[in-house]
Amino acid sequence: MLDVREGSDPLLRRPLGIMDAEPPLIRVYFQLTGRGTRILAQRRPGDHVQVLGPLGNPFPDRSGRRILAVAGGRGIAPLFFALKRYARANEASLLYGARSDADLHLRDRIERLGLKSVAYCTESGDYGRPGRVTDALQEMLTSSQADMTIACGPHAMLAALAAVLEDTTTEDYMSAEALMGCGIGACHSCAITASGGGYLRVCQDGPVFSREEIQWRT
Amino acid sequence: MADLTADLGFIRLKNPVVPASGTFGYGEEFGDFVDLDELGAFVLKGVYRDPRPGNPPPRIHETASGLLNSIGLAGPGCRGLAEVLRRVSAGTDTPAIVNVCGGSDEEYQEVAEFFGAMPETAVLELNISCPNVNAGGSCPAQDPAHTERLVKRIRQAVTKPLMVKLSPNVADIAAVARAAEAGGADALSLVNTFLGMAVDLERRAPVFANVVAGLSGPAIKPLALRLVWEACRAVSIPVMGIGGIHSGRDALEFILAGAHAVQTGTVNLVEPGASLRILREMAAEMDRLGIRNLDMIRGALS
Repeated sequence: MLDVREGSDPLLRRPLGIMDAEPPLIRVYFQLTGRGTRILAQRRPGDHVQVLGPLGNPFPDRSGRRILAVAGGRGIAPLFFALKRYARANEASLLYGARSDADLHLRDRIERLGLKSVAYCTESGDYGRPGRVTDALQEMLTSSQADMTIACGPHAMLAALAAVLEDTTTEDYMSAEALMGCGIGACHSCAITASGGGYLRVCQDGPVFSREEIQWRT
Repeated sequence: MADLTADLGFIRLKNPVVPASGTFGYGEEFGDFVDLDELGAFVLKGVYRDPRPGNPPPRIHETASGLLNSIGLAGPGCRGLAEVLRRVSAGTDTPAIVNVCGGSDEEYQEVAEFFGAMPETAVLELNISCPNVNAGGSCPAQDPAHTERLVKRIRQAVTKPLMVKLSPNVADIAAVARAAEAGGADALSLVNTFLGMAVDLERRAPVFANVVAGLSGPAIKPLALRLVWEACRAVSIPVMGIGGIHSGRDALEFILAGAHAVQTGTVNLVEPGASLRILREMAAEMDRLGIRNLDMIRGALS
């Protein structure tokens, strides 16, 4: 949770996923979507930005697995960090989709991760395969022989993904997004519907959930 | 060094800074940021008889220096909260205030009796002012007659100190404050959130499922200050001032308007250690202004 306040406006911190961490640096990657991120983007080396974190649960530690990561748009940022970690002791592949070429981020860095395979797709068809990640999912699952998937992207993408993965035997983890208040589980703002009914808090119970925990389609 | 003791008569707080209900979880979430022992008291998130899931998302919407929320009092119900209260109280001597909710007068009484019987409860705060539960945002605190009747009923049912939390969404706060006092309240706390609303121009729909929501944060401070000032002039019981307090100066302003203590709200969500910062700032500001204790400035507007 990064403090973007100038006085009391905007009031809330902004929840951002960690894209990389190499002590003493923490790298976050964000899109300019509103005032908060605009203010953050104006920060210069030497400026102070107060950070509350890291918060919540990361993708679980695993080794010796065949992992397929599925990213949508800027959802690549936390997956990049996870893949960097997983690539050391697992065989990892990436399926990365976005609206268009311009919405596919971090491609240079992705190439340097040493992944087994990387596939891109765009809805506009101007880069990689035309279509959505779900269109290419089955093929990627087969070619990567994945026994585990990790995913991050818009809720609608995660919901579509979850529907396909229900019929597979992979172990699946998804990082969810929500409007967030405190980030420490106190305010219950970032509710997401649990599969057993009721709500879970994205900030504290997540943001990474196993697929079965969440009722993705609401 | 200024004396920050806040004597409410029925309870003596070591200082006047009290995190408000719904903005401080159950205390334990703030363990990394706030030593509970240093607070004057703390109010637990509101509790109904049974567990409640809360409202469907979205539950918050940021506004200019403010926050609209429609959380809908998600919580574990009496039995779940009792467990939490025992656990939290075991770790601190700071008084725990239980925020009592109800969908009916009977439920208010049931919940008040349940926590009134627990030694870990220092004070009951009767929450008759949440705008996020009924359609349209209505609540008992909007009706002086209902307020007096309900407070009297709870007063007769429990022996614990009873603080009544009032709504700002009324035409005459003095009338409601007097009604709560007449019903037997030991103290008042105000204000709860202001009724507000947000709409989504793209979807041409309200942002929140319940349409209306509660506004809090620095945006409401002057509004809250006026209401606290009027309530303090209308009653002789102590008042806890609430509304957009983000600094030690803000807190002292509420004392000057007549409050015995203050509750910190939205600031806790943005800056989890805020309550203790505000406390330190109060002390420094009092030293600077030559204020030796809170009695010297309470209600002392010239």
